[in-house]
Amino acid sequence: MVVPPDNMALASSGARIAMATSEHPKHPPELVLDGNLKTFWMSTGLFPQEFVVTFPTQITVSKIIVSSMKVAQWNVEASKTDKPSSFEPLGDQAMEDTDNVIQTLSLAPKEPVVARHLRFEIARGFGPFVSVHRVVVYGERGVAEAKNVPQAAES
Amino acid sequence: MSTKLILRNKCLILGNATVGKTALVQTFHSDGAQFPKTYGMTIHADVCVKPINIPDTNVTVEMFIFDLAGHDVFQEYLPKYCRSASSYILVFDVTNADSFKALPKWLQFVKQIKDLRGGRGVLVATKIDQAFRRSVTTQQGEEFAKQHNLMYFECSSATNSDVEAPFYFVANASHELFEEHLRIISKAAAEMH
Repeated sequence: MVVPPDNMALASSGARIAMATSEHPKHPPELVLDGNLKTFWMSTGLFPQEFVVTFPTQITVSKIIVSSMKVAQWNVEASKTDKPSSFEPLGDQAMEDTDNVIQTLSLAPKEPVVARHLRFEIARGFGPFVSVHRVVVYGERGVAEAKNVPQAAES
Repeated sequence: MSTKLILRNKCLILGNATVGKTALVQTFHSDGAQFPKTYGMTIHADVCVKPINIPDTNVTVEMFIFDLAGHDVFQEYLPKYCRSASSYILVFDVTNADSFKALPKWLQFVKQIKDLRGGRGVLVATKIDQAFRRSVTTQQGEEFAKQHNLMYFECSSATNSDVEAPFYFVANASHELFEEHLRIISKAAAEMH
């Protein structure tokens, strides 16, 4: 009955990077979608920095976990539309400076959020450059309509 | 696929009004073609972008140069333009002793910008073509720079001499800082499991 949740943010399951504000030839943004903490995307200067993860179909997000270094402030937004536009805030978190150890952002929206695209914005860093090692998005493919839509309409 | 790497650096230009900050930036930005011949006070800030190629690498540092107003009236607005800056260039005019005496005040200001920690500052003496009006000597400039761990440069925007050197220094330092951070993060990442 209980099935372990799937990580939707894997290139191998069709997720891709729609855009990123930094591009290092050896540390491209796609490396946040390979499920590996050893590989990473490196920002190349200035803030804010951001990247957009696009899923093959709409998903219902229940939890987001991001591993990074030197990030001071995360802002995460979701877009339901086919084109990556009309983003709405999903959550934000101020991070602690863990020096050169991985920081973990963990966001669990109160209500499951439907998203085709997720935008991860780094508003500030603890140093001039930051790295993002892995993005994990737990959720279900498609829109869990029976559970969520009536609730949203009533509230 | 291109292996070109673009790094970005936000560089603040600070110093008293009329020392030649805008002349320095515009002469550098235009490769010597546009020295402003008449004075126009900078209101708040002027921003320009100049790519600098780092020799013997595939790296270009895009310098986002924030030419900030030096006049007292704009003092209170400066902090908001300085947020998340990566480097700074302090400017004084060798024919204007007051602009040299004001440097400690500017250093104090720089200390409050917490994003700047780590980067080495740069001190630039301008208007060295006006030798007969000079009131601050090279030795005084060098000594001040040494005391405060700044790199020291002298230049003249009017004759387009040595205006590039301070910017090239900042770009190089920015590249070195990036490589250092990349090394630290790579090392930490390799130890993950």
